[in-house]
Amino acid sequence: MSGFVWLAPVGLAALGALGLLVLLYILRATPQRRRVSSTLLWRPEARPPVASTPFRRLVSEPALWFELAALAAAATALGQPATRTLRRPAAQVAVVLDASASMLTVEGSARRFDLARRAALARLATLSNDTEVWLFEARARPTLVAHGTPAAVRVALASRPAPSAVEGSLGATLSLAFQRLAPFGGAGRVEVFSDGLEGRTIAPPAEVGFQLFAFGEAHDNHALLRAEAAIEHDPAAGDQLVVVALAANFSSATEGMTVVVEDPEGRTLSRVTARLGPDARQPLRLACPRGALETAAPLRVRVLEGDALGADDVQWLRVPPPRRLDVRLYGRSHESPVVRALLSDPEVRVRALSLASPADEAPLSVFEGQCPPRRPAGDLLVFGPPEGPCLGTVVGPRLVAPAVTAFDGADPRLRFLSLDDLVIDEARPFTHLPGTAQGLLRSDRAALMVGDAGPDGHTTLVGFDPAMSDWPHHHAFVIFVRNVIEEARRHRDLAVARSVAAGAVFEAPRTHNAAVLVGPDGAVQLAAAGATWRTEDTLTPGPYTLREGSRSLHFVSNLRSAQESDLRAPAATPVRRDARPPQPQPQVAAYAGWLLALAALAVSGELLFLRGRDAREAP
Amino acid sequence: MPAELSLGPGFFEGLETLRRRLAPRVSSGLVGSHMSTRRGQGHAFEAHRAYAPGDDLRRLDWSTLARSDEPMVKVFRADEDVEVRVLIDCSASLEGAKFEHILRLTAGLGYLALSAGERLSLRRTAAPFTPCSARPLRGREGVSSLVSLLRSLDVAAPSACHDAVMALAAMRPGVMVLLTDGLEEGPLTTAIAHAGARGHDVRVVQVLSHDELSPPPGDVVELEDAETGACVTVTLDAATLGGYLSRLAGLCNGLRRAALGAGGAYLRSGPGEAIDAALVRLIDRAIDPEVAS
Repeated sequence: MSGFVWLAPVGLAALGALGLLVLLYILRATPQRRRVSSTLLWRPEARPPVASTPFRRLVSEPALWFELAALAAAATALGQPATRTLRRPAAQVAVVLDASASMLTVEGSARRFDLARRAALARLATLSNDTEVWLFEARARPTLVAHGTPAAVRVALASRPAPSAVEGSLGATLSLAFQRLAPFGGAGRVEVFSDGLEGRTIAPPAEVGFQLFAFGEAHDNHALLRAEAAIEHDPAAGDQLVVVALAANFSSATEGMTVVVEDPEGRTLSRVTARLGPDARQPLRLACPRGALETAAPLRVRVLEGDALGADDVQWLRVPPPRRLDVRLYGRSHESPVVRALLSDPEVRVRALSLASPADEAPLSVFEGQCPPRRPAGDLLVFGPPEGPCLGTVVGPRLVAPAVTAFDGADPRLRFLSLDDLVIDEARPFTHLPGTAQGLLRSDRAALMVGDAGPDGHTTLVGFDPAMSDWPHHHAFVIFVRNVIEEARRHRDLAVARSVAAGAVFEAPRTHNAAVLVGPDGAVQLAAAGATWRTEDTLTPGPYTLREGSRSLHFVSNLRSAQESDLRAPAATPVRRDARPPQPQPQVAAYAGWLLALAALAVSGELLFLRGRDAREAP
Repeated sequence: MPAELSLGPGFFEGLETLRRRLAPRVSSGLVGSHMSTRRGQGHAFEAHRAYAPGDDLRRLDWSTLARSDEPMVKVFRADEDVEVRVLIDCSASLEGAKFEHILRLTAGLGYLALSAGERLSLRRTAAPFTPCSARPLRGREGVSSLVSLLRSLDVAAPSACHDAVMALAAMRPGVMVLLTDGLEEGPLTTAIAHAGARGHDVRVVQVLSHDELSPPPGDVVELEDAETGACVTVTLDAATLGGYLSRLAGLCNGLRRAALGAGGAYLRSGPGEAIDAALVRLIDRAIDPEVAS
């Protein structure tokens, strides 16, 4: 099935045009008739009388040969001549390396992942150089690591880092490999290096070869599948941090487990010992001392007894924020209506300071009659700032008895209240607002209350002293202050984010500030995706901190996969199944393009010839 | 069908301007007082000859008779108003722009002649070669008649330039203006020479179109004779065109030599030439150079 072929033999019918061309040349042309004054001077040049036959003798002339060549080349090109050869395609091998948490299981002196990688490297060394190799890793997501010759892929594989303790994606990775190699038919083969815990459910397609290299022995294992922290309220002893850890025993015998809670410095805050029966899962309660509630950094819960897989013996958790809210007050009097309104919330602790005091971070800072020279972190509430610039706004001159014309009832700070009857004796309205600020309370001339939100927190500026109005006498004033307190509490709690499962992608709302995410292994690459920050890779277990401006967001990531922790099943039996040998693929080399170029060359040659002839014959 | 001849007021205004500009030459050139080549009763003495019976005795030179005792008579060159005879080739070969050019040339020439007080007569080259008007035109009042005559003319076959010239040559000598393309078989040159010998002032104007002077090259064409309708198939290649141009040069140069031999003038003109320019050359008795073959 190799040799010279016509891909479109019907096109050769165009060769019949050669006969038509010759016919045109031997047909006698009817001369054009032209009327002249007299034929007297033309008669000596008269041609001999023509014969009656419509044909004439074919005269060999260059134009005819040029046209014949062009027509023959073009007609032959229409037939699409080609040479066809059969060639066996190069082998395509997809190496799939399992990089799930179970591959961190220690077998003797080495981890399963190291054994698998070592075997994969040895396997790559046996492949011929014309083999095309694809290297996939079944991490939290299917990952194409490298593609190329066996040597190039070996280099890439040797430098791959150890897997993190995440739930693997062997099934999805195998599907990807099968999909990638399916077009190559029997030339494609997928070779899997895994402990086989997931591979048993894979059904490789018939047209792709498949081979499983299995590693690992059966092991007993225990794990912490989950850990949560809560605050228990004890009227007598006060609040207490309690950690609940879900311990699991993946063995056929009863095992004793000691679980401890440790602070960031490694000090043990609580300890509990339990005996778990075969296949048992048991929540363990660990009560921490009262001081543990003040710990801002993540706590670690871990099992003291070691086993074959240590990655599932640790859980990270955040101390939940307390209901209590610390407020810093920079005021003129402890008896001001503002203080009374703040203390109406029993969980608020007010600490009075002066502007000269060193900066003290708090979820909420309240200023009376003064504007902070530098914006403190957290939410901010300012009453009656003096005339002049203040936090991006400009406070105008004194305004006597301004009439309230509108207020923003949809704003969280002004919910559940009405300011229709508010009477203000004296105020200093805001004559200039930054672009992000909005007027919450307006007179007929300017804004009397301004709200703004930034990366450091929310700001509320009230352009008058409550004492210079009848506002404190209305319940709306207390509701307003309580709303501000609740907003500050909500913003504080947002900084203590939820736990993120290991192997998931982290997302968080973003502002225009640059952000840095620091994890257990250092900085993690962040990418801006719309209005959110997003990690480019999946997270490994551990504590994380997102720093964006003065805002810090703490969260933890944990492995919560019973499938990765259950090591009792032995590694799958190595499987090898060859696909049908690939059929040689025809390789076609077409020549139509060359023939068309030849036709164009012939046409150009004729044009040049005719032009030269005309130039020579011009009188 | 008469030719469409457009002679508006501007045409004659231009001719009047030309006449004023050429007045000195006109008076001693084509029209006006002519020194007739016919010997007669003029005032300019030319020679003596022996008396013959029938001679006017008033011309007898008595002093010579007394000295030599031989009767001799004086011969004078006659002073007379000659007739300008315009002979228009009306063969079908002139059909179209060439014939119109000839008519416009005739109109211009006639205007100048009539304005100078000359007699003017028109004749066609078709038999019987009689004048187009009963009497020769004279004076400016004859211009309108001239225009009417020209507008009534048309090309017609057959035409015989040779016979027409011979017929005019037999008449009293005068100025003979022949307007033709010369594309005619027959010894036209012989007739011109005969007219010159008969004392006619022969002016030959050969009108040829641009395509006749330089025919475009081409492929095989069938040429149809406008006069006879006969067809000739030729290949308009370089060789054919060369032969044609050579024969055309021979034809033109033959006419030129015949006109010069008859003491006349020869010029070539064509539809593309301005009338006033052609008239100036005609009055100046211009002789166009030979055509290179």
